Amino acid sequence: MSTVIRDMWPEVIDLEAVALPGEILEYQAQRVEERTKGFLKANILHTVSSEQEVLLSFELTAPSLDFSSILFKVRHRLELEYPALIIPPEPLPSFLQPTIRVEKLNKGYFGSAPASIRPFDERVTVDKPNHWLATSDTEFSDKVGEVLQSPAVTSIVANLLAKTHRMANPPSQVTLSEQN
Amino acid sequence: MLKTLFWNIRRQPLLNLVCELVREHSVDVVVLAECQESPERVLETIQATCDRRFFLPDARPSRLVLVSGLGSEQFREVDLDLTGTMSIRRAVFEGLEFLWGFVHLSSKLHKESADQTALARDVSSRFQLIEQRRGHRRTVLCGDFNMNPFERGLVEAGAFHAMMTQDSVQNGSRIVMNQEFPFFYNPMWGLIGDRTPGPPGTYYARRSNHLSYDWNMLDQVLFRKDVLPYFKVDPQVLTSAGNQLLVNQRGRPDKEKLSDHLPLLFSLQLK
Repeated sequence: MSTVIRDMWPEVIDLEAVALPGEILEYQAQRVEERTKGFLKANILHTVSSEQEVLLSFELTAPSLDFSSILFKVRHRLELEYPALIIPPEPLPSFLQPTIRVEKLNKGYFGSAPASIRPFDERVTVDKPNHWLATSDTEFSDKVGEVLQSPAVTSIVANLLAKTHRMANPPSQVTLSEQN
Repeated sequence: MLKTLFWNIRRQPLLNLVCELVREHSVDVVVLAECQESPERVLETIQATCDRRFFLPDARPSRLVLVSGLGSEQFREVDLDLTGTMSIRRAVFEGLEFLWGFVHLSSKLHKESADQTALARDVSSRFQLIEQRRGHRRTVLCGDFNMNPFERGLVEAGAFHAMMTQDSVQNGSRIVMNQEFPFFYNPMWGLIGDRTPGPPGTYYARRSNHLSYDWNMLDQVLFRKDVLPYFKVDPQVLTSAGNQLLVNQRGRPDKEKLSDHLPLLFSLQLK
C-alpha cells in the first residue's frame, strides 16, 4: 500500500511577493488623494507601543475644512506584520442604522424580572472567530476593502467631499437642474 | 461661567431630564453618550423647553451628541476618531483657541485592563498630536473613560497622565526616559467615596469576582495646566434633575428606570 504525502503549506507561500500592511495602507492613502484631486489627503501614522506592538492609524484629512479623522487602525507585532488585527470604525449611531432596535417581551421564567432579583443569570465566556484578524496580505486587503466601503467610512468621505466642494463652489455658483 | 453637562444616558429616552438639567443649571454645552436620538431631535427638544437658542456645531455623525448654546462656530469638530468614539472640538474664548475632547472609551476590543491602558495611550497620543499641530495645550478632556481615576490608563505617563492635585501638574509635563509627557489635572479624584458632598462615583456595579469597587468614577473631566486659571468651581456629579431623583433609595444610579451613569457638570470661567 502506497502512502500519499500531501503538501500541507498554506497558499500564502505561493505568492511571489507578500505586501506588508503598511504598504497596502499607503497605497489606499495615495489613491484617495488622487481620486479626490487632493481635496482629501491620507496619512498612515506609525506608533510603537511599549508592549513591542505597532499601531498603524489611517488618518484622513480635509485641509480646507481644518478637519482630520482616524478611520481605522491596525495592530501587529513589531517586525512581525502578520497576523494583523484591524480595529474597524464603530458603526454609525443607531438613528442612522437601516434597522431600529425595539424592545421584545421576554416571557422566560425569570427573564422579565429586574436584573437585581434574577437568581440564575450567569456570565459565560465563549470563543467566537475574530473577523478582523488577517493572516495574509490577501486577507488583509479584503478586510481593508470592507472597512473602506463601510457606511461609517463612506458617509464621512461623502460628507467631507460635499463640504469641500461647497467651499470651492459657493451655493450661488451651483447650478440646480429642475426635474420634470 | 461656561457650564458643560456630560451624561451617558444608556440608550434611554431621557431627553426631558436633560432639558430639566439644562434649565436648572443654565448649561451652555450638552454632551450625550449612548444617545439613541438624532442630534437634530436633541437640539429641537432642548430648544423647545429652554428660552435661549442652541446650535448643532459642525460635526460628523458619531455616537456622541453635542449641542451648544454658544453659536454654531463654537465647538466645531476638528478631529474625530471613528474607532474609539472620540471627538475633538475647538472653541475660542478671549481670542484664544481651546480644544475640547470628548471620549467614550467602550470598545469591545479593549475590554481587558491591559487593552484599556493601550487604548488610553493611543487616545492620549492623538491628543498630543492635535495639540502639537494647533500649537497649544489649552485642552479639556471629558467623557466616559470606562476606567477609574486611579487605574493605569488614567495615571500612566504614556496614557492620560492625569494627576490628583493641581500642584502636581504645575510644571506642565515631566520627562520619563528622555521623553516629555504632558500632565492632565483630574479633579474627579476629590469626588471619590463617602466624604464628599456628592455621590461616591458616577456608576455603581457590584461584581461577583474578588475585585469589586462597587462605585466607580467612570465619567471624568481632565484639564491641562494651561486651562487651570479658568477652573474655579469643582465638578459636580448630579443626583437629581428638578424634582426627579436620578438615584434609587440606596443612593445608587437608578438603572432600572433611568441611566446606570449619573450626569457630570463642570464649569470654567470662560465666555
